[in-house]
Amino acid sequence: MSANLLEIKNLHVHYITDDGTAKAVNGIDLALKPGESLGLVGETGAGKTTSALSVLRLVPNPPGKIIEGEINFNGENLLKKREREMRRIRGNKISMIFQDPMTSLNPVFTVGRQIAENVALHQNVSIKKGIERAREMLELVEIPGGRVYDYPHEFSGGMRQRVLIAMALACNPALIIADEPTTALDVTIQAQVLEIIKGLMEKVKTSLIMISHDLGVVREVSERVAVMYAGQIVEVGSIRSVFQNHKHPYTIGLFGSIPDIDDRESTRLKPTPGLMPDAMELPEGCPFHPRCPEAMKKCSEETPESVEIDERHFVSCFLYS
Amino acid sequence: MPDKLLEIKDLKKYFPTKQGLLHAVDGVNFDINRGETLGLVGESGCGKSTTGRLLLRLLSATGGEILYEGEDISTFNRKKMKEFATKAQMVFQDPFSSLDPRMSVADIIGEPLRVNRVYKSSKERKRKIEEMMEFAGIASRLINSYPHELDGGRRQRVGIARALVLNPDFLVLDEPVSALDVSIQAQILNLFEDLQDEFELTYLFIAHDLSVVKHVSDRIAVMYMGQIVEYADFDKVIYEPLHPYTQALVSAIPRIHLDDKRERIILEGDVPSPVNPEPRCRFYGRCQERKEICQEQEATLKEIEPGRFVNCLLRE
Repeated sequence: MSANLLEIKNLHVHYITDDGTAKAVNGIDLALKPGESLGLVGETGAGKTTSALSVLRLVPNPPGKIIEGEINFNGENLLKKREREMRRIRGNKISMIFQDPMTSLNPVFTVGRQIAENVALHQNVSIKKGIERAREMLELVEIPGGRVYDYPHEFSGGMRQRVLIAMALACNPALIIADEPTTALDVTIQAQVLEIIKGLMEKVKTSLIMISHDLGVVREVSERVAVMYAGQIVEVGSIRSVFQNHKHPYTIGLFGSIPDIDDRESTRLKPTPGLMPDAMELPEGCPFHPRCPEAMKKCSEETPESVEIDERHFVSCFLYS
Repeated sequence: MPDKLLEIKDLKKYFPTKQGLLHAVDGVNFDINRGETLGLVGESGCGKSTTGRLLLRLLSATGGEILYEGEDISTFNRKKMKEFATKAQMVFQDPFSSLDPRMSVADIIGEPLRVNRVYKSSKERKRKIEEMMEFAGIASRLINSYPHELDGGRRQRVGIARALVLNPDFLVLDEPVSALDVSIQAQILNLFEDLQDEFELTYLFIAHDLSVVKHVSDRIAVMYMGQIVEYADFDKVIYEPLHPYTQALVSAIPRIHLDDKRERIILEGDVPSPVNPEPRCRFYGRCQERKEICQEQEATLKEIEPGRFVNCLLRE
């Protein structure tokens, strides 16, 4: 009996190209309870988006391939589903909000029509009923309902992103995956969108996976946070536990890299030197060991298991095992 | 008295568009002191990059003056301009499009030396290139690499080495870290700090990220719709902001402190169009404190206490 809405177990995703195999995701485990919100943070190429796309089975194939693992959603393994079954889940039970609101909307249809299409398809109602629903959804994200007849170009960037949120919520999904939804927005507009996401999380009982490179954004909307590095989750726990008591040397370097606006002295930043390894040439053992200030001999030979150091706070590092 | 390297007076830049005149920079005043970092912050389209380009005369101004060491740069002739170009340099945002893909690292860094015929022998030039690479933290084995072989952080280092190779006094840094991941961003920010100490540089640091700007700046100027709305020492701007826009901007930053109980000020609407703006306070449409008077006249930047400037009719 599991109370988890989503359980990812030992997921491996590779991109197989003529130049070699990029190991984008290397054995991640993740669990999400109904109504819970999780932030997935990491730098470019850490495997955040690939992990998220795997849940929807949208990893482009070829070159992408889910090598092994399980993704259980409501107890059913999504990786065993047929494509036809997946189509009934996407946009219905699980929906996704992409980063770029400019390219995720179709410019030749009104936004109402685009939201309605989704509703009509999944809930077997007429487009007219769907437009009604679209109107409600727009109002939920604080856009006047009358604007269902407007085209995407008539909205600003922040409003388009809200339209996408409305669309994602239209079928009452159990899980929303938002991939950097505010990255393309200015900070005052980002604040508007985050405020709306927070408000909605309280109103509708949806789980959220928020992918972001910005720890501040994740902190705003999530209860838990998972830190990814080179295709692995190196640390995961509650926001409070991870933000106050991060243990993995990579997480420590990540927090040390952020200019803190509340630090009046502007203390010199303490980033981890070097770069994340290329996914085609991952080092043996712990992927962080070549950059790690605490690296031991063991770290280049074996991959560390994840250890629970506090309640539901896990770290994958030999320093703690 | 602070030693003023640059004085900017009533600077204006208008672009003609089909819809009318776009007021990209509309009456901007500030100074940059020798050896300091002035942060110029604002949202997309506020005119911060245009201001940076005007300062190096990469664009010519519609009106106003830019004084560099007391001389108006718009009056510089060819010879004087060439001299100015060696003293004032720029680092661009996008390390992917600001480097010529057909030039090697050595060619890119050495180009300013070649154009200005700084060294007679190519050996001397190469020595200088290697020295700059070391300062910028680029491994010497990369000297013959091409931009596509480098990651974003290294490319940005090449752009920095090129900007520094003629020993400039003043650098315009236009969003120099916003395309980079946070740990690379931190490495580059530390590099800017070290280079400033080493070469006694003056920076105009342009960015949209207020946390980054605060981290590097001595003073901060906040721009909105082509105007400076607030301009003072960094701690005044960040911890005691006076202009309603600055207050909202500071409060909108997602914090990493868990005990942060700050009240967010959520602004309504979007930044309005800078084409033919109405003669009222530029922030009127989104301001939470707006009054009758704010739509009757334009606000101007006023010094309300020594060194602290605010552009708001309600704070005068």
